[in-house]
Amino acid sequence: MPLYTLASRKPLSAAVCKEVADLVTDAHCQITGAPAEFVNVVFMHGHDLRDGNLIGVIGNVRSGGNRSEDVLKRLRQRVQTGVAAKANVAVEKVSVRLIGVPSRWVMEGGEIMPEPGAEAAWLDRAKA
Amino acid sequence: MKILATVQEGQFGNDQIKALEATLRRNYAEHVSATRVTVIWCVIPKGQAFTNYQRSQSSLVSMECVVGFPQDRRVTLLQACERDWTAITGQNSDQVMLSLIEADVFNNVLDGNRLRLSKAGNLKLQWHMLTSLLRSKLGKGYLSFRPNL
Repeated sequence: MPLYTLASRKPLSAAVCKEVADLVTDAHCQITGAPAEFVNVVFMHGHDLRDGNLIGVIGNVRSGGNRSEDVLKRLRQRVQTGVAAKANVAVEKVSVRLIGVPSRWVMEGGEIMPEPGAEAAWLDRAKA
Repeated sequence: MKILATVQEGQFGNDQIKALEATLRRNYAEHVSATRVTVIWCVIPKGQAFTNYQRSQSSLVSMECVVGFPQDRRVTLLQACERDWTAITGQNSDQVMLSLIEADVFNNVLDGNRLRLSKAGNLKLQWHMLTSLLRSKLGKGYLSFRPNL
């Protein structure tokens, strides 16, 4: 976790998928401080989106810890503008919704995931 | 209750998926509840999933439980599932994400997908899911679908 799913009407090319996945990973890591190992990005196409949108992004992200409203707002904006630019669509045609999931409900690498902001100690312990 | 398992296309054979489903069901019944569980497999086509900037080899399993489920029992379930999953697939534990999500948040996640679609998009998705799940159940013995329509 996080798991970002991007639904679009038309398929994005392989190159654009890679660019968008990199962009989403960069945005998530730079704004939240989470390590890139955690970030999953999945694409799907053929979907008719609400309000004439061309791309709909849902991010299932850990809640709590350092995830303030401001952090989540900046993350939403960065993903929206970045995805629009990489996919060459208008910003207003990209919707972004973030859904918080408590980290203690999730296991990766055989360990319960850390609270947002406490990743360093978790990574040290997991790699020990 | 529902279990949604997301895996990569071609990563596992049908027998592995059936074995994984059996362990998920067994562990869920032992550690969570004996209630009826529906297991759905989402198979991501090659090139459509990335983890850590690379093409993904990860498996993502989300399980639903009642609100207020005890954390110690959750950890026991997730550890059991992780142990069995890696034994069957040979995956590194870093490639397996497991979660036991309380029903209100679980439904919020599912609703998120519905809310981004138009009415026609929702109908199209429901029809795709219904036909895909029926076809796979009859042909493979488990419920699976691909997310592309």
